[in-house]
Amino acid sequence: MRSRRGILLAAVGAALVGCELEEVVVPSPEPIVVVQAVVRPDESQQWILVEQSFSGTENLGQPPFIPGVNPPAVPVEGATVTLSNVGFPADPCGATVTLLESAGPLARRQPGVYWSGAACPTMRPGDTLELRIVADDDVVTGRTVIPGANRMVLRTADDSVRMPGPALDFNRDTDTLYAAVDAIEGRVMVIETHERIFADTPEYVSEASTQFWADSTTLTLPGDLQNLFEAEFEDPGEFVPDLFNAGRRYTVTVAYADKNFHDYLRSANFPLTGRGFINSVEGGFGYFGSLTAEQSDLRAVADLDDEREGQYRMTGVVEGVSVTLNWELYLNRAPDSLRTPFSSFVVGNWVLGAYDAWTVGTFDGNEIETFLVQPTGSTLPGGEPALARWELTGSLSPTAQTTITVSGDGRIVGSLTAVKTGG
Amino acid sequence: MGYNQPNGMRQRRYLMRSVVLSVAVVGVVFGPGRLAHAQDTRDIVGHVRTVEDSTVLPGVAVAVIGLPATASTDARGFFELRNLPTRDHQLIFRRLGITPDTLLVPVGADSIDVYLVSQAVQLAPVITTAASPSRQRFEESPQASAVTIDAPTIQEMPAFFEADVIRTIQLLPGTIAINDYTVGYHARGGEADQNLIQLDGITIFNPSHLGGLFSTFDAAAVGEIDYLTGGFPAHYPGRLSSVLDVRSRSGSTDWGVSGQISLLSSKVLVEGPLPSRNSSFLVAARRTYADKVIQWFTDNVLPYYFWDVVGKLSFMLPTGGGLSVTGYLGKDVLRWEFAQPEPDVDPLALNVDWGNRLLGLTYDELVLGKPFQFNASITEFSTTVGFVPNIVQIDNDVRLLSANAQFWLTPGAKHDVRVGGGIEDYRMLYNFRSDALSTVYLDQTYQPRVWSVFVDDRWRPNRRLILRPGVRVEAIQGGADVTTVAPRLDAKVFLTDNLALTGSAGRYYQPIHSLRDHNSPWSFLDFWIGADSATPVGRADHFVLGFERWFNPTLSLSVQGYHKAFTNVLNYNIADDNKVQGDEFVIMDGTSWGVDVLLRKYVGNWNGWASYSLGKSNRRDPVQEFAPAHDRRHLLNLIVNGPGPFGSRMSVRWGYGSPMPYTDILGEWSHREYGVGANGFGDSEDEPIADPRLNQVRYPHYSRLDLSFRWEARAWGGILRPFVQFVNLYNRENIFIYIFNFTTNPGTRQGITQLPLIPSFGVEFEF
Repeated sequence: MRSRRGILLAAVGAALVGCELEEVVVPSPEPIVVVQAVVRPDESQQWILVEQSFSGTENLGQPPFIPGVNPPAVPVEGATVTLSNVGFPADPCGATVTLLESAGPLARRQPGVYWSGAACPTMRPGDTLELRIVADDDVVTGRTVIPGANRMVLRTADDSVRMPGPALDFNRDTDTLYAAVDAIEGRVMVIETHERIFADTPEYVSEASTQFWADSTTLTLPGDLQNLFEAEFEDPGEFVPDLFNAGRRYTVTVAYADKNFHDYLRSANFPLTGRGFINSVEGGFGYFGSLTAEQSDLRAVADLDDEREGQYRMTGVVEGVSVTLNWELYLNRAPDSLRTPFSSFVVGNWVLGAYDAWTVGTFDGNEIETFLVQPTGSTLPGGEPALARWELTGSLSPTAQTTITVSGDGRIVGSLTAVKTGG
Repeated sequence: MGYNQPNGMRQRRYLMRSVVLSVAVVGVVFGPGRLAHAQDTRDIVGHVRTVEDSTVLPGVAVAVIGLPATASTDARGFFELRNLPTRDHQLIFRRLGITPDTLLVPVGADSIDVYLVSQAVQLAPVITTAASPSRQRFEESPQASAVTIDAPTIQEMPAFFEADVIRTIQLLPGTIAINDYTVGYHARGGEADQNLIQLDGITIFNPSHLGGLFSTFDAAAVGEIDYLTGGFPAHYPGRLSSVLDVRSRSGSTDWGVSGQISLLSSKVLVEGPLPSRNSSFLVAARRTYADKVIQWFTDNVLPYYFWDVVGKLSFMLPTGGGLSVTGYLGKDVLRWEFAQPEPDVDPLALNVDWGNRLLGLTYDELVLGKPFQFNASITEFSTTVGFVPNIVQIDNDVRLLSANAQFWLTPGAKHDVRVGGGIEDYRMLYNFRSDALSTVYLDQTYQPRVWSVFVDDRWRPNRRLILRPGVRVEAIQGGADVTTVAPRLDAKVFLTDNLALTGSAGRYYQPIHSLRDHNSPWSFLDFWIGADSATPVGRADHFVLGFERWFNPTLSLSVQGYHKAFTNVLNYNIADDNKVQGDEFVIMDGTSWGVDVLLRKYVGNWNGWASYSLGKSNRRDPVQEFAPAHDRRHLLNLIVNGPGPFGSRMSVRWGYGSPMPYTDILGEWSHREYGVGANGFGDSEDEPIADPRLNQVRYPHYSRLDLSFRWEARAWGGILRPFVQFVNLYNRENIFIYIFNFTTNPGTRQGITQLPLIPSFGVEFEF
């Protein structure tokens, strides 16, 4: 399990009664070449991040997302970065593959991020890959053994899928998700969940994910697991959300990784000593690991415990378009004193056509507030940009027909008639 | 320790109560067959105890009227008089503060138990304490590197909220605490896990609460402490560096209740008689309640407390022997329910519990006229860390079953031989699992078993020389499967009656280790592992040479130089693979040398000690040689107890320590979190990067002044002793750690201090 490193420091601080003294300026140490690299046979291009340790010469901002958003604070540019598959001398990519900062896709190109060509080097399970980085006077080397699996499987109470495969229904109240890897080579298994709004596009609610790992080839996730990684550990009695909320779609990534990635997962430098991280490169600091991964989706559902939960059908006209939506709505846990949140699968025809997504909203009694979004960059049939977001307000009744108002950009753009059809 | 009374008189109450009234004798005759060699001479042996509570009385001088033969009772209250003429003898018993008394011992009553009635003694305003245990050791034992501390000394010391055994011995020469917080202490350059800590002969694995701020021992239940920093005798089981031998006191046969109330904790001690004659019990319990106090007055939460209970049953057996049972149960509890309570949802919480529990018995008897002792005990230390309901659970359980027996033989007037043997059966379990994820991250067990025999001879060839040769042989099973032979020799040469040269040499083995990062300034808990096929048995060789000088019966000076060579000392391996047993550590060797000086005034209106230690230690692992985190070159402690203002007793402690090493930080890195699904880095933690060369730089000097005042008043039929204490009176900003920040321009360093100025007050009571 990925640890929150702040917990330890907080615990230490809580136990002690010492005072913090004023900060004093210290000389800048010599920077160290830091390498963070994960190569993957399931990806067409490999990339490797090469940067410097912080030595008091830069003011750092928020951490960027790499590759593709903001560049690292102190990238090492112009280095010579090569990969060699020493286990496959006849690699058609050549004995040595050179990675270049300029070889990455435009949207993900950044200084300090070095990209290989497509499908190079060749990586087969059990192959040993060597990394060599020459940056000015520094030479950093590393070595990883490529992992592999014959197959990866996800299983719920009633169904299973060989990954990748169709989405599984997963009752968060009663099911435990079981993941297994039939391993060829490797050391550690990783399972990661993302919320995913749209069934047909790889767009996430956010880049945030929750990751668990085990030094084995099987892992389980109980449906009612609370998401410890969402806890702030600052105030007692905080609200810790569930990992799985019914009414939402999740992409589950299962990976199998090498020993170096295992060491990366399980170690960190202790704030009091600066030691603890298991360095897997020589001549610098960081890690050079490898993994292979597969993905499948889950539809999280739940037992229906509240009369507001269940199936609804909404019909009407929005922005001049006749729309029909089927809602599969579940209440979610919430902190006290707030409105009751819900999540709902929403399938049907919407303003831009077919719609298969999920959304969240809140109940206040039977009054709801919710919204629908379209995938980023969607356009109207005429090419005009679509509204990014439609707000839906009104009431839902388990027994009667109700009306939902639809608004966008501060104006009412339509209305829907809602009827509960099941549950 | 004395206090002004309303009538202007001062009263001295000894913890070990003084003897004044009468002597009761129980002669135990074992039969003529046991006196076979007594045709020409006879031996008289026996125990001396208080009649009220059967507490053994050490340091009682026993003399034979009309003969030059003398003896002193040892720590068990035992004495021997050998090769006396076969006739009736009158024995006289003396101890400082005790009215001498005599006893007729007829022929045939060669094994006796002497009961002495005690009562409080009205003394002159000069405060005195019997110095005899230390002086007795000087005169009769070649043991160097030993200090005896009694309960009043511990209770008088200024302390962090309450009197503390471990904090007191950290003020003795050769003993270093890395800082105010860390668990454990270091004796003459050794590691903290190399200290054998025993309560009534029962090993305690973790002697601290709250990361070292409090010790496990409730000072009110402690009788006396022997602290041996080198050259310790063969009967102590395997540790490399020191022995802290804590003996709890027996309960009184009069009912009594005492205790203490302070800002942070309260404790109570109840003692009284048991139905059988001269038998007693003692139970002491304490609990911290800062968690409750903070909750009452603020919205903040301190989710931590500890409690412990220690008890002792002391029985006088009809045979004249003694049986005592000691038990201890303690727990530190950190319970952080950080999730909002909800119906039908298991509360999410971090639960951390750790603590010792132990139970042991000691049986003393005269067998064939020779003292015999049998000990059996079980001791456990367990730690549980859990994210509940079932997310993560870490269990560590260390258990030791031990049994040993020893005889004291006296093959001649000049020899005092002790032989014995025993077994120690260890079991250390480590389990780290997640039931929710159905996975086990770590599951390891260590089960060393140690069979031991020893012989130890205190040999006095003449009045100027005492030798103590001994040897301990251990067969270590459970994977290590080695037999160790550990010879020891202590020697003392009296140049005058008050000046002696001392020396000792010995080899020591240790079958268990605590995994610590020797680079870390803070250790919260010990994690013990045992010798097996991969984990080596630690070894140390001690050489000690020095002298001891008594200037008068209350003032002594001890100077000792030492050299220790360590083999197979373990440092925690940060790259330990949980699925490989045997790579948890990096094997080191090393050396320590130094000089310890102790000038101690034992009694008087002003008393205390000055201790100075010069030391240097190094360790070598496969990569480098470095100074361990406890390598402190100079350490000075001054302890002064005397009269204070407003009729108080005052205790002052000032300590100075030269800089301690730490490992420099070479920068920071963004430890980025790799998202498998997104094939990219998202969040990150900025983490320091340490210099791979360990402990190359040092913190600033350390100093601290502690001060306490105590008063005594009679009220409600009992005694109240209010006290005020100040820790770090001049608020010296002693550095605990540095936190570096290289993510700004320029880079900065911030010091986090050790204990700041902390005043505290409370009251002790006794009824």
